[in-house]
Amino acid sequence: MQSVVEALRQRAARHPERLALLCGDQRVTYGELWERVVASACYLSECRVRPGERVLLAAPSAPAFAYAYFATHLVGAVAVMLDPHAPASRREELIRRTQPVLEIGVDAPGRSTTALPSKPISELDRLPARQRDFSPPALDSPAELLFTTGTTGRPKGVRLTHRNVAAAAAHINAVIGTAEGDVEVVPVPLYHSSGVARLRCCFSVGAAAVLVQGFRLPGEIFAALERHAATGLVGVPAGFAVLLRFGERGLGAFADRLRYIEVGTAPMPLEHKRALMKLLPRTSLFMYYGLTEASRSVFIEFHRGSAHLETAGVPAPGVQVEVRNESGNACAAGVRGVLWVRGPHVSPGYWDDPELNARSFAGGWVLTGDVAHVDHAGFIHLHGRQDDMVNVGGFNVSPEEVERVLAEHPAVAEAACIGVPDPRGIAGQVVRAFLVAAAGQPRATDAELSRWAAQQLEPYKVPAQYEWVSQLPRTDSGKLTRATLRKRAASET
Amino acid sequence: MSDLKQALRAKLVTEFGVDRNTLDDNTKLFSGGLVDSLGVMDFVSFVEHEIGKPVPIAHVTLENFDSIAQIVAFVQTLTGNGKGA
Repeated sequence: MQSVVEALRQRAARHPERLALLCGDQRVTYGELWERVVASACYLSECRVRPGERVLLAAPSAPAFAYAYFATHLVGAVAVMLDPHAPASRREELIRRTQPVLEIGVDAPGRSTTALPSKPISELDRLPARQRDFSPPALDSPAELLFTTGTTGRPKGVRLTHRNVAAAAAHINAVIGTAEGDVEVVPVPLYHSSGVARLRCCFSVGAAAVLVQGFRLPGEIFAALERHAATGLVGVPAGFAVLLRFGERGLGAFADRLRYIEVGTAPMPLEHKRALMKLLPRTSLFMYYGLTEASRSVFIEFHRGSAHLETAGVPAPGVQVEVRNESGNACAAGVRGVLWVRGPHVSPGYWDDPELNARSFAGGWVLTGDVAHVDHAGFIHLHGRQDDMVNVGGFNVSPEEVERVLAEHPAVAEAACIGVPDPRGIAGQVVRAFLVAAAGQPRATDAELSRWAAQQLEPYKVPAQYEWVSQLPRTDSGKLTRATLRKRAASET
Repeated sequence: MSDLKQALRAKLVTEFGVDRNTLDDNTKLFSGGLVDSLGVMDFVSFVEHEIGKPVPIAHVTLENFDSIAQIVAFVQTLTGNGKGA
């Protein structure tokens, strides 16, 4: 195994003329990419960035982001990535906790209220080319520190080594088959773990990445697919929900060109999976389950796994999963417990949180916090977060199961469920559903919704309370934050 | 184009619940969060119906669709009725 930055160096040496990055009118070959990475690494060295020190990388997706990221690796420093639009409180918390020596960020001097030296990322485009050999980083040295946006509590700083990120790129590429010559549209921001992971995957095999500034409106993505004759597209379920609205005119128009799609970070409604399959019958459609601590551990390909679309899929090569009960013993097939993951991609632990490390990491395994079972065919079924489970009269209720049923009602676009105290004082908790209305549909009554749910769920799972909202709280990556709904419900009492 | 402006205003107020009093030609519809991006196809279909021409999907961008003024300017280029035609 070699680090991703070393793989990139070798690619650039072998095929300097091949395209590596495209962004708007900017086209960067592997040779040019490596030249910029080395020039940026020299710049970091001159800024006295030492091995093991942190560099805050807070910039939007652009080729210079890749220069800064791999330059950080080349000098042995640790990239700490942050959304450039993050609120000041989050930015300051990250700076306080990680003590970076330098920020490479947007061109806005004086933005920071801290004393952290800051360099505009655009400078990396203008640095003079330099010749210098850097030693490849040791595989078990730290490569990056990614802070989870967090569905609950304090953001967790996930440490990843060069071995972790190289192993993840290898198993992701083994599943998806991204190869030299592929051109992949990446609308996921690079400061997010799912976005930067795509760069690692592309550069490990010599593919080209087309950077697009997010799923704002779909025209930019369709234009990128068309203009660059793209063979791959990655994204999040919320983005695909928008693209799917364009049907045959949208993704359908690329059915003969798109070789693969990768989607992840949040659950995708079954109807959207089926719509993708119909629009793109010859495209491999991969959905992954993973966490920052264990990138893309489980995959399903919709066409091949069409009988298992409600599952997360099966573990990627080299990844082990185990469902354990409360005693820490492995559960038999079909029995629910909490999912653990092991493999060379698993983080060695969190930054500055020994207590959480003791609870979450053991023997190379990481606790995902997701309730799951493995069926007899080996497919993994997810039942929501351990923290999100609702206890109705001693029965555990998976909010996701109830949400899936409610979201199939014609009047409901989206649903989120939490447990709230039973106002009758009988069941401990009852299920409260937060619903977003489907456009153009008459509003359903509580009684209608309960009748609908009762046709498909056990009586204790049927929500006792319904509340219509304009939107559901989500993280930047689209994950539902039930903790926000719990806080809101708690504030009512 | 004043017909299209009026039609867009009416649609935004009646179907997307945008406040008539705060809506002007430069109000940011998508980036301002007034219209969910999920509603964009509905919006595009409406514009196509109004102008009697298909909108190339690669042009459904914030630059062309984020305000009434931008939509009208974009439509002018599409129909050859205005600058850039």
